[in-house]
Amino acid sequence: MRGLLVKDLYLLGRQKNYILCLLVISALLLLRADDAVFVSSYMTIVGSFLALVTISYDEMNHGRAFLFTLPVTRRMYVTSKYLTGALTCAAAWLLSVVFTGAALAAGRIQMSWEEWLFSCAAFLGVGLFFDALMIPIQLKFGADRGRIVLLVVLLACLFLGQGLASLMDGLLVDAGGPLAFLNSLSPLAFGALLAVLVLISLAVSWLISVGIMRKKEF
Amino acid sequence: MKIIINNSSMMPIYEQVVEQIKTMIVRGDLKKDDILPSVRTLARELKISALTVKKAYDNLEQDGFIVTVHGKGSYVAGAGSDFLQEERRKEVEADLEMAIQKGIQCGMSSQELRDLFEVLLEE
Amino acid sequence: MILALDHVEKHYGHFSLDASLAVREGCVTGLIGQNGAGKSTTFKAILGLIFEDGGRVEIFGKPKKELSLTDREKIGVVLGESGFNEELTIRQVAGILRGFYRKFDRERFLSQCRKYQLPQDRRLKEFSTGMKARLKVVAATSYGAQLLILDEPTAGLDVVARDAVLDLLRAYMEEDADRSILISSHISGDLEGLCDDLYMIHEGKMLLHEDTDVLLGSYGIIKADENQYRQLDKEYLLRAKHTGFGWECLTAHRDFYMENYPNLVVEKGTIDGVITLMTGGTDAPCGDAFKAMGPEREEV
Repeated sequence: MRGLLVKDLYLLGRQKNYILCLLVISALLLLRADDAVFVSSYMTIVGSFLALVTISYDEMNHGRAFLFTLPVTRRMYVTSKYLTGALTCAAAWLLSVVFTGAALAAGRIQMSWEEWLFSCAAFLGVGLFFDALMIPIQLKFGADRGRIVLLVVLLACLFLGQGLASLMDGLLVDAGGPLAFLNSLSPLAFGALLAVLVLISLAVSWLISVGIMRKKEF
Repeated sequence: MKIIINNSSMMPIYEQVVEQIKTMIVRGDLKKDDILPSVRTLARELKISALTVKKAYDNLEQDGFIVTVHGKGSYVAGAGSDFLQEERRKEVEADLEMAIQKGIQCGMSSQELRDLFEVLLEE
Repeated sequence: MILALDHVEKHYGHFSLDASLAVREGCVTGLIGQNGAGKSTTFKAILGLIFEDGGRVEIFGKPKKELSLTDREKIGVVLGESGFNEELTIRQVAGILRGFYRKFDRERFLSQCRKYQLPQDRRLKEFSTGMKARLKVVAATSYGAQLLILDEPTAGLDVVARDAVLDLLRAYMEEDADRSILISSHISGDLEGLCDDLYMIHEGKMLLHEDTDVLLGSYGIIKADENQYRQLDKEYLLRAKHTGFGWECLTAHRDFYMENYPNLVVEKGTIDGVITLMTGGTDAPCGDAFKAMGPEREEV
């Protein structure tokens, strides 16, 4: 497992420039617009995207064939992808927290600290959920076909991110029972619910991915 | 070890190795209790299969030229060079006998065989 | 047996594999065949990269599925087309290997890289084919593996580079008498000077298994015209092929023919010559001294 993570780390190092660009863009966005929510979601999702990048790297030059001749089981490989995803997601999320926190403290954006805290947590969840969604797709379809699906899902997730934040603000006209129920939950309870959902989706995703890799031949 | 393998020769490689080691022992280049290179080391030097070297060593041991101690290696046997010379002479005798038999089978007379022998010796 | 395959089968559209072979401890076993004969398929089945349709693979005496991760740390692999990601440098490869193999010897790995002129801080994609091949072998031999499984490790290399790789392997075997190698190639010269025994594979089937020593020492290729062929005792012929000048025959007992037919042209058995006749000769008189594996042949 260690070997797999070390490998992913080294390969992500190749993405230094790309990551730097993102940080700069994010900082600029914060300075120009008031939308901390957008920046957070953008950064976190990009962070979770990096896990998919490592999957693409593994596929290069039939590299995966050699990888599985090392002392690695299919299960270990899949787990390492989720771990990498969690790590990159958390790293990006931490950065976004720092950025938006700083912006908030400097009075650059209008939001209560509570709201801010909550949106931060939400975005971590969204990032992880994004990984849960995309990793099996990437593993099954490979880099090329997966990319198309990726674009579609990325957009959907961004909207989802916005939607969640708006929900918190109570802007949505209540549309019946479930929404009312959700609205009635305290932020903490709602947060816990989301967290559980994210964890379940990760577990299901992991199981699916292991199933996909187990059947693959090289 | 200074062994030269002729890959184009009809003589099997292990035989070439056996012959050359025997010669070295008889000539005194290899003395009693000298240690021979390990099978893999010699195989690497000569760029041949290790099994071939092993076959050669087994052969040499059978003929009494070397002794293999398990775990330690192969050593030149203690028999005096007289004994080894005797062995070689016996081999030459056997070879000559075979050649003579063949000649007789082909219909050559004793005189023809003797003449042939003289001619070959002079070459 | 450190590695044993028993009728490992794999069926693809037009191609069927049925492979049986065994590697003895302390031996170097070669698998030789044309491109597309089934060498890589056999290796992939051994390494778990593809799933066999039938048969058994046993490594270190255990069925393939029962190998623990510790067992797998004792196996070194080189694949022809696949290796470490080319964005990595040698230093990074060392870091990765250390994460996989407890017995990885970093010092030895780096010094071997230096010895074979592999720069430590350049990315693999900047390496030449020869350098990449050398790196793969150096990596596979850097953690004390007991069994090396090498699929065409010298493919695409010039003579000098091939020699370097082969010598690396010989040195590796020299270090420890219990190590074993299974190596495949379509370049017979490489195998003649390294392997203890050889398997020949053709169209997915094992055609021949022989000790290299016997192949080079006892096998012979007879070239006879029609007359000579007619008078030939066919007892020890394995294969015969009709040619422009008459017949080209393969035997495992060239001494017999050399002694009894002094005028007959008999050449040393080379791996290439043996393969050509084993795969090309469709006419085949057979004697009882029939050593090849394969379907029955009719009497000529």
